[in-house]
Amino acid sequence: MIRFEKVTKRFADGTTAVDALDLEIADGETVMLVGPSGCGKTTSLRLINRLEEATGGRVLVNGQDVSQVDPTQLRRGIGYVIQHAGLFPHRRIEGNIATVPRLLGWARAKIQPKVDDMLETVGLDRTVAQRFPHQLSGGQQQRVGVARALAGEPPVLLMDEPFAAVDPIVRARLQQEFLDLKKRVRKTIVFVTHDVDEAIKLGDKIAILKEGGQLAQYGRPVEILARPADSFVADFVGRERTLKRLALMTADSLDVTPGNPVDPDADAERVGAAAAEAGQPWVPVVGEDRRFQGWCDSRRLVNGHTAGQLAGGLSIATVGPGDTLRTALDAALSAESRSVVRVDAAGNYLGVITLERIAEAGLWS
Amino acid sequence: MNAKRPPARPPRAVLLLTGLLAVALTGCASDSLMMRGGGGPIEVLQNLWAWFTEAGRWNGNDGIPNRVVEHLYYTVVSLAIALAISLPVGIGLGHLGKGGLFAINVSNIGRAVPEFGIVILVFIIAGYGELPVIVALVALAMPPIVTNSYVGMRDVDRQVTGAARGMGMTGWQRLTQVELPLASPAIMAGIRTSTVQVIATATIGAYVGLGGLGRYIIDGLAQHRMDKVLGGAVSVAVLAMAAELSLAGLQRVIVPKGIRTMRAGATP
Repeated sequence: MIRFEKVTKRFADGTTAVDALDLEIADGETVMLVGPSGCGKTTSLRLINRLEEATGGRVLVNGQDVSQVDPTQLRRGIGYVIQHAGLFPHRRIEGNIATVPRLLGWARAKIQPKVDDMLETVGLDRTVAQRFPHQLSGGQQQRVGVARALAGEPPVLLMDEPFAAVDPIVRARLQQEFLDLKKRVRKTIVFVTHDVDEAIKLGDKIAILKEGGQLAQYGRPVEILARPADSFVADFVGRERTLKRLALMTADSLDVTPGNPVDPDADAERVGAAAAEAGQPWVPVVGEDRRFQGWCDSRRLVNGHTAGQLAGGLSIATVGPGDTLRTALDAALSAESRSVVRVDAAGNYLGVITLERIAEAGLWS
Repeated sequence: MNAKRPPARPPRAVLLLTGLLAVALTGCASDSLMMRGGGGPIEVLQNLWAWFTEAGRWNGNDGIPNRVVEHLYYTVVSLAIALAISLPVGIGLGHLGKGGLFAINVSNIGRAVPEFGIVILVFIIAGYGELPVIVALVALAMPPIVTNSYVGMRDVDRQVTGAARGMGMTGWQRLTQVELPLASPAIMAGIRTSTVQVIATATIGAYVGLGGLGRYIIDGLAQHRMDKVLGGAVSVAVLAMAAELSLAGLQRVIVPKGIRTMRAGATP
């Protein structure tokens, strides 16, 4: 886990790059730092591996204050990818990838398989191992940059505008590969970009920074789009554009999951079983008339009570035929279950649509 | 990649032809200088050949081998001192990125003051010996080495050194594993320039009574013997080119292959 505690960075010339930043990044999460130029996003990233030193507050990586760790040791445990890859032109690709393992003093017998493994991970043929960086295309060089950053098996990966210098077609490919990669290698990733669309597409969470290094909003992409904290965020993420687009698309084509509905008389034991099977704590409550009655939180239902008693309240919005993605998004965001129930024209329960599904269909297409 | 190419040098063959032409022309002009061993171009070359094949030319104190050894002695000592001072200064300041302008300007004083002036000055202060010549040659050798190594270090791609730092290389590891290999072509270019200049200028040793190939030139001028002057000049030129070729070979060994092929403009 990475935590910023009231972190401030003031440069010698008096400019404030980062201003009292509080941020918490959970293990295995991909957080995008995004904002206009001069918002301190790159500086914030470089504070993590001490390429910049904070002038106030502290940065914690896995509970340890980074200012108490030797910088070179700290950096060997944190992957680092930069815009132009920054490969060593005098070393072959295998030598580049082996950089951190060598610094860590790994045995030769362990390094060679690791290089092959890393090439495969980033989708490069093993024949490039013997080439020099200048013999590779920009996209290939960037893949090697990622392989080099991952070779030392760091739990944390820092990426500073890694895809900004390649052409749009290659960038789209690299972004898709990044999404696949982050599913396979569970890393905590901090990713700097100036491109909001890239942030929405790649991030589990987005931190939007304002000029002067202030955090404007921090949250999941859909939340930021649907509930921007202020007009700066709304403008920056192009909220109107996105919501208008969502308002033009119907929710009809969205897949539903069964959601394991329970009847209102279900007791804690049955609700618990349904929730466990669905893999999430919230279970829809559906009456005998097949009407949706509300969500039941399996964690809050105590013995002696029924699902129907907990259901109800505000979050009974549903999505019917012809409703737009915008409606679905609003409904899902206002429900604590972060899901919305789909009903047919007669109002009968059909299934559950998750927020992820809506976001996938509407924001990332 | 936006690697800068070193400034183009004239091909060695062109230099060689220009040198030979100059030799022939000087020889032709020697009549007006009231010198023996001159005449038309053919005669000049014949006399030159005769001088090179004279009895005793290749042995003894005044033989070419001994003069070459003396000449190389001044060269190697001066270069060793110049390298010992200039490389740490140029590389160190380039690594730190500070004080480069100052160092380059100070070392350039060596260029502004004529070598002959330095020899006479140190001769007056320290008297007869090798010291005046060595001091002058060191002053001559330093500027190209300081300037080239400083600029070479500064020109190393900041993205690359930044990545090296971000991956946890220490300052020393960055210097030895990244910056020096990448700056090696520029550093070697400085050393090659200095070497050729020092070999050409080491002839001034003869002015203050020392040996070396300059002996033939000084003595030839005093004796009004054009063949001897030319013989000395040609010997110096050949020695300089031999040194340049050996250093070019050394550079091939030192500069990493990835940089050589990059500079050659190889594409995937």
